[in-house]
Amino acid sequence: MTHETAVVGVGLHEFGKFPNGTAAAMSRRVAAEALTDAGLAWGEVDAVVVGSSRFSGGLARGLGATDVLDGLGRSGIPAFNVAAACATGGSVFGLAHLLVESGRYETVLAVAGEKMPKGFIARSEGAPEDASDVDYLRWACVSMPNPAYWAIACTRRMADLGTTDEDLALVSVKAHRLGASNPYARYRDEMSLADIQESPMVSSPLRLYELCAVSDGAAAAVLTTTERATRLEVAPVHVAASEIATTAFGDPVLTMPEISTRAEEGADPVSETTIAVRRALAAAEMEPSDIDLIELTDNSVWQELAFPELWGFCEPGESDQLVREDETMPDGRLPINPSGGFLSFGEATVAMGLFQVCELTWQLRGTAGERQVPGARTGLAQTLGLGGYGTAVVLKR
Amino acid sequence: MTTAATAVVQELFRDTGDGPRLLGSRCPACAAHYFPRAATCRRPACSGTEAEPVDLSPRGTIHSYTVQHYPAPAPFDVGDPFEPYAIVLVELPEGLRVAGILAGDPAGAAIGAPVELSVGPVRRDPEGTDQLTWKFELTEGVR
Repeated sequence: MTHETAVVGVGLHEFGKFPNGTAAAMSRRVAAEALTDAGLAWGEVDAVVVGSSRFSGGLARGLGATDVLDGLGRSGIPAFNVAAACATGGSVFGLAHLLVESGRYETVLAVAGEKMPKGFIARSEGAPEDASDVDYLRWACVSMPNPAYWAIACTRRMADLGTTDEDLALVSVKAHRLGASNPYARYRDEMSLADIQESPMVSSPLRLYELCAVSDGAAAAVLTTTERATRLEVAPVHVAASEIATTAFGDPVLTMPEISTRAEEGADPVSETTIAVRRALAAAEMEPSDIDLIELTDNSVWQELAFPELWGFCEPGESDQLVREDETMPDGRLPINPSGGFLSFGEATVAMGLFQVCELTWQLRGTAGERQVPGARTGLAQTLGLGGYGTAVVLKR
Repeated sequence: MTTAATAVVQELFRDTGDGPRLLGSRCPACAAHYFPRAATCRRPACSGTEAEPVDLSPRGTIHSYTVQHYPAPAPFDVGDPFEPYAIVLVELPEGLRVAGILAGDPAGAAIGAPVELSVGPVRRDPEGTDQLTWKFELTEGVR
């Protein structure tokens, strides 16, 4: 028997650079905040799922579940570590959801936090020179950093659909307008079109302020059965779907960190996320038009333009116009990243899927303040991780 | 001291009398090509369990590209001093898109431009030896 599942508490650490903070301490703080938000005590949590980093070269590092539990009492509680690169947070949520939905545990805490090294993401220090590891090959043979992948897809989009440099910059202008009003965001200043367009070119056509930074951050959510939720004071936000997918054969878009792809007619572009979103909408028995807001992975402005089109939320090439007409703002036709997104937060990679769940939860509770999507009843969150991991979550009021 | 140049990673390309070739593989059952070589076919419904080694076509067209204006994080940076370089995704006749550095002026990168495989230095190791990788070079037209 499966159980209807709800999010009953969330906690989010402000994003930034915190030289004196640790990922464990930040994670413990958001875990405690999520429990307080739910009106639950630690003793009422039946299992914990925690996000660990999965960096290149087979080196797993970062947070472990017991790092979060330490200091909160050693009760012998079951704990699961999940790693899926930048899709870790979404995968943590996916497993937590599965544990509750299956009836195995009633109340599960999902938490992930990370402190990112300074600068552009590099291959992990100490990772072996392994010729069978495509991540090694893309660095060693092609000197191909992460933004190059998004840039290559973006160059092609501009040629195919007529997206302009200004269209790209406007996505970032919009992100910073929203981030300015979000107390958790790292970048709280609005930026003009000129600010964006005068920022240094990184991987053409993408400029520095059209790419997300790396940040320290943490996020947590408490999931329980809707039956249990009715005995709590907080208004539950229901999990309509939580799906995970991996890259499928024939994807025409080069998946990071691959160095080649075979483009098959009719195959899904960015298949790991496109498939996850399709599965989530099907599981939720919803159409794109049923979704009131989207939190997606704007690692660069390209994703924010391309993804809604790939998922059927608008026509190919239509995103540019939607952004230009403010239709992706909270009061627009297709609100995207009302939080301010990765462009305003910077990415604490493992935490992002849960950061999105925090924002969706506040939006669906109607407590998102200045960035509130009016009357929001449903929301979609999506992550994408290096190595071909995709997740999608649909929450509803 | 400079010693003879060597491939940064072995067994990805080879020299033939007729220029360099990328070392790929081909599924005998469905003809899907792979680079680098794949042990088995990745097409979900394919029965192919063995991969036959093949030289990939040395010519293709640029599907898309980017120009890198920042060096990749060390030790995988290119050039000293750094100069912007183009990374191209090249469509090969086998239906495979392969990424590589564009040899020469990055301003020449353009979607649809014909290119040819070449081999050139990507960086030097600490002993001063040139490390070689596959690259693509613009050609005047399809030969």
